[in-house]
Amino acid sequence: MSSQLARSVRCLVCCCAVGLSPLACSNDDRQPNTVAGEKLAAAQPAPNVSLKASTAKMAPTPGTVLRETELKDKPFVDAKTLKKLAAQTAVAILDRQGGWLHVNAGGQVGWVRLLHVSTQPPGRSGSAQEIESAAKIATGRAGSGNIVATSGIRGLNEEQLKNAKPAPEELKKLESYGVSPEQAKDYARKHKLEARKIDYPPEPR
Amino acid sequence: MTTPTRRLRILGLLFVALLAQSAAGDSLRDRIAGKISDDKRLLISVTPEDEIKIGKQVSANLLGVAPLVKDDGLQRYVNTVGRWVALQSERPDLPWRFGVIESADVNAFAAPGGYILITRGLYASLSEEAELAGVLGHEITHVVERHHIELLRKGTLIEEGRKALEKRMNDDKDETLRRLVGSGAELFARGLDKGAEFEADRRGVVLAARAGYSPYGLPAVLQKIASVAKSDDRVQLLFKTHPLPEERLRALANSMGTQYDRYDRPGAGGTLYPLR
Repeated sequence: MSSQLARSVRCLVCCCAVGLSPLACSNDDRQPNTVAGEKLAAAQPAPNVSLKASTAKMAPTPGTVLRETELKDKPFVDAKTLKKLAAQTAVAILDRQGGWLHVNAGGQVGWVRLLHVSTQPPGRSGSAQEIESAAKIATGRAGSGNIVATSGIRGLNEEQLKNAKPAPEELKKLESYGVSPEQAKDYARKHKLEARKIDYPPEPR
Repeated sequence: MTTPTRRLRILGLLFVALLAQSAAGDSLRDRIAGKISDDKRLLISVTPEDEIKIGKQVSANLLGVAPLVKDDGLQRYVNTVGRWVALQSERPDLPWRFGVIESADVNAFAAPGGYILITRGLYASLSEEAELAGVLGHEITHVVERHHIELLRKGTLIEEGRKALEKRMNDDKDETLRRLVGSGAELFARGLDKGAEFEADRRGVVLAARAGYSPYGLPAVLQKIASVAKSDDRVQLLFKTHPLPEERLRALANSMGTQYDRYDRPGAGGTLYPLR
């Protein structure tokens, strides 16, 4: 299973790297949560259909508690505390809803603050099962994006950036995609996004 | 945070310098002017128009390495969401431009003047519009706070800038700016200081929340990035130029506390435009 996953990911990434559509890959495994564009597209409704629920059942992802926190029975600060979780407690992340993660902590299921948990790369805890599930980060809707482990793909590097030659045609294209404030406001209205007055947090000491 | 006070201080110094010029002749003026270091004069000299010029230049160079994804719908979509978030910032009137570029790297880049590019690799990792808004909010903050202009003032680029200033009388300003920015898109390889990144996180979540999204989109993306192996090629540049995601999550936990929970609206916004 995990080698299949790796294959599909490698395929996808090469396609991205050369600018081809991932659809060109022969991608026959059935991993539900790869970054493959076609799966992302298939899993999402048409762009103008508003999807309000951002909860969905995901394959569990291993996480670690960053600081002592409370396991709550609901995703609210004033919800009932089921138990305290010490820093470094291992949890399985089942789902996300806004600022809360639905987790399984040693057999007990509940909600913890997203900011109190981190994930970690696969490999720290060896089994194939875990490696596979670590690649699927629970973040909301099923079938949505992930960053999947890979190797041998060159990313952007300093040398490349330093030697970059300008692409004036591309810049022209970028300029042409500009959206006016009115167009942006129309979009916000259509999707019920209301501007709110919120202060920045103070600079920490 | 520091920029306005620093600018005031510089303006004050300039004022003193001007007074000195009229009152006490050249030698005193020279001594006082000497206190204004070259890099501070540089800050004064970079106007919003200059920022836009610099932004165009480095964006064109970055696009030379990684061109735009060929999907007009996708590009218009990120511009719409980006512009809406940028409208909540202190610089809503910059000519904001957003683009998705062809790279498997997981990263996003902010160039002065309002040019923001996000990689296909990062876009593919997003699962809802609030996450896109959070990522763009982080980049928009770099532009609003002129973090890269600050970077040009400091660091190794300053030497080049000083040379450019010395030659300034003979050069046109565009040439000066070109020298200042260095070669290609190296501006993006250097990285800002950690403080600027933490500030962009802190303010980025607020910009997304001001735009009506959950403030937790950016933290969710950081959490995903934390699951990528440190040795993975696609995060090398990101990890070289940014604090590690765990560190950023901890810093956000400290600064956000629970005060933004009341703005949490899971699922608010439109639907993420699918990648082809």
